[in-house]
Amino acid sequence: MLTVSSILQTTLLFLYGLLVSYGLTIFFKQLVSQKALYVLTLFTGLVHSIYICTYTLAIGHCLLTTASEIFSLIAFTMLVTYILVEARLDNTSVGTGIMIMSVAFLFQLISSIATKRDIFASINPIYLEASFNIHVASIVFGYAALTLSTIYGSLYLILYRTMQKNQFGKMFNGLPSLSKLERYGLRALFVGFIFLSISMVFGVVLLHNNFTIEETRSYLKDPKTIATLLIWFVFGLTLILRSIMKVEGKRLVLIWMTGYLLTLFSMTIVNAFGTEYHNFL
Amino acid sequence: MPSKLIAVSISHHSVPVEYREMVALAPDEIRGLLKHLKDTFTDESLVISTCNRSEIYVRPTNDVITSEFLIDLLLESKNVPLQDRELLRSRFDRLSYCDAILHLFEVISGIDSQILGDQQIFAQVKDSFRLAEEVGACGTFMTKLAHVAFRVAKRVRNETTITNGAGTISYAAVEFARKVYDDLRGKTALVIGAGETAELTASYLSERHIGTIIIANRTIMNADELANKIRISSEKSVSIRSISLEQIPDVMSGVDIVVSSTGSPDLVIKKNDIELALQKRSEPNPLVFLDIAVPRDIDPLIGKLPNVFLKDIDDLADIIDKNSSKKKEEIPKIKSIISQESENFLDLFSKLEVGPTIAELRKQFEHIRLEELDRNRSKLTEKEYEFFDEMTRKMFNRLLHTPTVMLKEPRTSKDDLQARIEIVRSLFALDIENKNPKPSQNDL
Repeated sequence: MLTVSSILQTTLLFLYGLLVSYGLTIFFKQLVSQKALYVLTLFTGLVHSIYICTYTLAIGHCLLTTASEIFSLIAFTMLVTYILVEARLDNTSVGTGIMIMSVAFLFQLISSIATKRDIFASINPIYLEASFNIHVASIVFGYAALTLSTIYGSLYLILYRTMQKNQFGKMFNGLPSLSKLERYGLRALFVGFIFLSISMVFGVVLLHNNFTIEETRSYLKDPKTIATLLIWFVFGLTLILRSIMKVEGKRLVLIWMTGYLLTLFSMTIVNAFGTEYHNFL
Repeated sequence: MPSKLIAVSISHHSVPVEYREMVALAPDEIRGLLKHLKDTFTDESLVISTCNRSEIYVRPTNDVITSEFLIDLLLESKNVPLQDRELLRSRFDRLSYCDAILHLFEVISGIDSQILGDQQIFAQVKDSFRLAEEVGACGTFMTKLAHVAFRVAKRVRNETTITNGAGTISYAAVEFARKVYDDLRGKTALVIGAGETAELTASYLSERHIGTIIIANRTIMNADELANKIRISSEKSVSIRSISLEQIPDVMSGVDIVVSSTGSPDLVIKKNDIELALQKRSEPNPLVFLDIAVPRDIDPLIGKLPNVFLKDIDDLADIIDKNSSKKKEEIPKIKSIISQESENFLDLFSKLEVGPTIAELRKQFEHIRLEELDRNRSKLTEKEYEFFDEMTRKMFNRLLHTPTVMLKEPRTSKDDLQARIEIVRSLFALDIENKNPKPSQNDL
């Protein structure tokens, strides 16, 4: 089973790479069929699902215990979200698809590189608890959704600049409208915020079930917890600004992009000096 | 001998909109210029002024009417600032006869337009010929030229696909707006102007299910008329109303898209008005200004305001230009149509000129013969006079036989007949009768 999952992992990397290059070919030359790209996207999604199943059967737990597993899961979540939200047979979805698939490819690549080390890592018994799995699963979905919202945000800013500079080329023709990119980005942001909130709630449940109140208090000072709270606050603020203060367009996109940069920065710092999980795990 | 047709042209190929608007002519200005040309310098002329170009075509009656003369006349009539004149002069195309005819046919066929296959240019050139006819500047030559030009346009429309699909600046404007707002339902567009371009814009917006269209025009009756026209052809969900230009500041805060296409020589929307409107806006979404008028209607400084997109005619043309590769494939076919029709026109016109040239030649010879007979009449008896009269007539007929036959012969190469006519006219000084005084710019 482990061999099958390893083969599938390599296949996946190839498929994600193929998706990116195929998308680029359509975007720049428009010589090949968009329908084929759509079929390839669905096929990649299917192969990734099979990979998750075989890997889970081989290891004996869900893809939530190590960073490499989580990266692969984020890539899968992004692909599924893209298929559900946007991948239709029109050329405007190709532009966003290339960006999304590029990031998914990157995550899958990181996952593949790190896997060998992780496969034989020892498993903490807490990883098998339901609340732990929900906690990690929601944070994975949350970060995947926030990554998607950032991709939409970046594309918004690229298209905005393209339109201001009168560069009516491939970007102008290949991307959806500004309002659509903003709408998709906000949807993804909202979904990400909800999952982040769920993850935080289950994190508290996890602490409550496994640690004493004194231990819990000290664990709240954990850098990863603080970083997540900060990110949750920034994205929450973005949604409040949108719904109450009616901030829209470029200004709103810049706020949520700042939020994501903050996520990347804080997580890089935290991961560089800390463990894959919280200090107490 | 002056060329049979000269033309000067300044277009989007050579200058951007900020220079084109300096020499753009309103219908009344065109009428004035044509009348001035007719009264002072020439019998036949044509002036075309569109968003893309300003052009003057003239049938000169003497050597004084040159391309430079026409350019200066246009710059003077538009009061172009002195510092810009040198640059503008250097950007004019100067064309004569065959080149001018070919150019006119390329213009009317839409292949010289900023938007390849422009669907509005035919009507614009037709209007220009109508104006020339109105002031009596359309003689035999221009009338024939008009007929052939219209035939070129019709053939291009019927025999090629260049005019298929969206080929107007109004379409480009609406497409740009849709790149900001994909769904126009619930959005409000202000269409300024009530002409053909405004009508096309309003129709495109209505086809894309925009929430509200407000039509603003200096003459409210024309705005009402256009509003009614659009209302008939659009869905009930589209709300359409009309206002005067003075009411624009009152509605501006609720507007998302502004498309302006008036013939006004001054700015219709100024930066101050927009700054106030932006402060009052309840929705923070971008405000899109699309200025498709020449001269421009919207203050260019508005483009520097935050959350505002301002595009002029040159910017918008690029949107369609990028998508016109299929249309470009039709150009060789169109050039072939133009070539056929221009050859036919030159042929026809040359043939039309053969008759008068022969008649003039014979008249001139007869005049000389009679003059000489009269001069010697006192020296001759009645019988001798009759003899010489008969003899000189036969002699002159024989002398004129060869040039007459040569002129009537079928042509052997392009422009051969025209060349032969010109040689005969030049050799026998048939154009000497043009003795107009040298005109000056101050006559304008």
